[in-house]
Amino acid sequence: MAVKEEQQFKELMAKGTSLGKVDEDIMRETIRTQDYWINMGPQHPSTHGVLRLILSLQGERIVDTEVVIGYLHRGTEKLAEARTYHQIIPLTDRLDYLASPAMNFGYVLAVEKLMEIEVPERAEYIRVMMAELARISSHLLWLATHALDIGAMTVFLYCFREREMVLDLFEMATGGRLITSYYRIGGVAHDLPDGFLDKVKEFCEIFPKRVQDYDDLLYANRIWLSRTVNVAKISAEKGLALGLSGPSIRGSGVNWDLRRANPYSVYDKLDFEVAVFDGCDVYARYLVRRKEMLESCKIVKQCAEYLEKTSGPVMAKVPKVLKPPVGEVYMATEAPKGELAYYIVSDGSQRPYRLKIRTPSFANLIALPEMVKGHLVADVIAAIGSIDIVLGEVDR
Amino acid sequence: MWHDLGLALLRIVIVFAVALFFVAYLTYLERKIIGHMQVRMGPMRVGPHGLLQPIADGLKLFFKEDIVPTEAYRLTFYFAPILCLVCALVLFAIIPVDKNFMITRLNIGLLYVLSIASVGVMGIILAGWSSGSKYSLLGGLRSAAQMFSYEIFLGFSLIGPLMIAGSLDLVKIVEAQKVPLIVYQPVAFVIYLIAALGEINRVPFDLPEAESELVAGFHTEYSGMKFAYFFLAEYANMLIVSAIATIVFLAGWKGPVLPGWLWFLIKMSIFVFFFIWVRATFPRYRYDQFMGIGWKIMLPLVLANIVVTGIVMMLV
Amino acid sequence: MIAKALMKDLLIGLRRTFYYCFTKPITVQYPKEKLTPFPRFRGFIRLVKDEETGRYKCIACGQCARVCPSQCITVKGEGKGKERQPVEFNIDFSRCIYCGFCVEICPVGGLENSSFYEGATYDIDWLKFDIDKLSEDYKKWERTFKK
Repeated sequence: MAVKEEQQFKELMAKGTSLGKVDEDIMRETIRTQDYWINMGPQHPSTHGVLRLILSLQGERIVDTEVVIGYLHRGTEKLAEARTYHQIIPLTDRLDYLASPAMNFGYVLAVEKLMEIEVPERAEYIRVMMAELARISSHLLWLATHALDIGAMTVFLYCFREREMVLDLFEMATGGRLITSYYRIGGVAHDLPDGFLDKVKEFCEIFPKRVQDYDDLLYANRIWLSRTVNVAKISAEKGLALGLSGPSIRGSGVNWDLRRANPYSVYDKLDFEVAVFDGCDVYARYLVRRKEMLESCKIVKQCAEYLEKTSGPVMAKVPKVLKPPVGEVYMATEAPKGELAYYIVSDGSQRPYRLKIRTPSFANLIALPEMVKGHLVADVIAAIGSIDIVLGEVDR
Repeated sequence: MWHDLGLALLRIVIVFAVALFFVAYLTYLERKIIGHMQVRMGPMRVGPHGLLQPIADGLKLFFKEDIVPTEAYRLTFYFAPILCLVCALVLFAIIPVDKNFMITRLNIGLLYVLSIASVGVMGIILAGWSSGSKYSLLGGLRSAAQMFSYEIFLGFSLIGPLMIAGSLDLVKIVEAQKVPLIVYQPVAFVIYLIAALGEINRVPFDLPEAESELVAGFHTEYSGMKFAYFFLAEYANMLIVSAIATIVFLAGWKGPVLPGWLWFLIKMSIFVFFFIWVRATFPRYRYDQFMGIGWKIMLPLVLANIVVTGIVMMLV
Repeated sequence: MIAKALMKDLLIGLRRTFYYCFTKPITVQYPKEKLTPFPRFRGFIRLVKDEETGRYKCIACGQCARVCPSQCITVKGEGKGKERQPVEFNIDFSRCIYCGFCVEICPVGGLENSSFYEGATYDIDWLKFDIDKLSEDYKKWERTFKK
């Protein structure tokens, strides 16, 4: 900072004051500008948990941002080394606790890839359906908190109303509302209960109408537009260089969705559009997620139609004690927040030698200082909301 | 003389008791209305339908620990909430609820309201500055800029109606209205409402206490009764701007059939409902955008309104 | 342009909130009224007794203790073959993560998920369930916190 201050001082000296040229020593004694430091978080209403930002301000304009993480570090990766492959499933739930099925999904896919397990198609459809419901639920919570941060508190409760419906669906099928632990290596824990698919279809009917509610309050609202358009811009090149993924990069016009780009599970058999908008700003990211919710709803509907017609096993034949062969595997999936990848190194024992998790929130958070440079304090809130971080995932 | 003094005291007691009661129940009303707009119920536990909630809240705040930060400038820290509340409450003194029911009648009533309201801003600035917290300071600075500038538009938007009414006396303003002034002055009315939202720090202009940005803005460090003073002052201000709007634009107590004071309360509650309604609906503007709206859109509009009013009055 | 000047975008929002002002709230007043969880809900875990013989279904094989990710189950059994019964069965619910793995792996259906979920307590020892407490009817676990 001292260098910058010096530079500012020199500029000031070159310009002179209204009194004309002044002696430099006197100026040095009397006139000094100083950046203003402010600690945002870890206890702050809108840092979505325990994120801490050290903002350096000039007035309310941001000069520099330092992101401090680690307040929610639970050592998931290290814990995983002491658990069997089966026991790691609940650990993955707790990464992004807002979309736990999607977190399970990546992990079980990775282990299945490592062990070369063939999963029954019905199980795959159930998994995809749950993962997409999780995407809806995660995006709903994102919209809720993002809107609340910008001050529209009613959207928060409308979103929670629909999220509650999704959580009820989770509870009905899996037994857990938030931490579902539903996926198993080789399939899912149970087949769907009776009446579940009817409820899913009912939800798919209602949901697009409810999106209209949020649109009424936000979509064309001039206050919402003025707070989001041209705020926290990040170009596609810069975003890719920083490793942005998921809706955050699709808001910058990059058509990169692993469900399409590198289809896993049964995504190649499903019909959906990838939401891409090229505004590069907070509003574009809002549009991407808004469209994704509707697209996910379509996917859920297709899965429900398939599952209604078919029946069969939901679990592949897997040994009770899982001992993958020696080797390593990398499996990337499209989680609600972006690209989620598991890298497993197996030494042939019951427990992984190393489990590395590439979480989207962590990578997306890196772009925050870049996004908010030169903006106002209020825009930091909008920017944090727009990259949709979950601290459980950032700190692991 | 003693008789007069007694009567005046009685009026003061009644008006302030009723005002404080309203202010307390305004918080309840707000929570209830916003609750229902958000498909939930609002307070339900304390008493039937949560009717005793404001009393419970008041008691809770009264018994809370009073925390003063070590960095705070004590004198101003103590003084600021009192200044805020006093400035808000003394305004009730001149509100004519009915033709003959007010504490005192000032011939410069409207000017009095505007000037006391400006003093009230000082309380917020002092609070933000003396808390010794950066968040409070930012909140205080924001409110300094916001409230001073919005007072200008608030004042200007009242000039149009004043030109037609021809007096600063609130009673005379009401009596001059055969038709409510909102009919002649719709632009001034809209601008008044927007400026009032800014003046009383409500969504979408609640920047000094923008919860998601500045934690609680200027009153971040306040607790207990001192916090309650700010809270009361805020809601009292909401009642005051509603009352002024009623008097200036909606012809105060005038109305058929019902008694005057009831008309006054009905008209006032329309505004109160509107403020709550807006809070439930809109996001928050950013600080610079908000100032931009004020100086770039509202100021020219309100000046044009005055000019047009003047021209029309000259021609008619 | 006219729509913008008349603040149409804002009025749409106002209409929406006004509409919901008169619809029925969706709130469930929690301690007064409670939702019944779905049958699969993973609440506190119960030890099942055979209704006819009054013996535990559990055969103390210890698989649940082994599969538990948070290692909160301890089992000790007595007897051989079909006669084998647990003499000690502890679940520490302050550590339990309610994943339901123990219920899933049990070969004889000796454990079940109850729909009891109100485990918040001032007393952590209350959460350390032994064999008698685990086999109680879960309604007995319900407490009211009045001082």
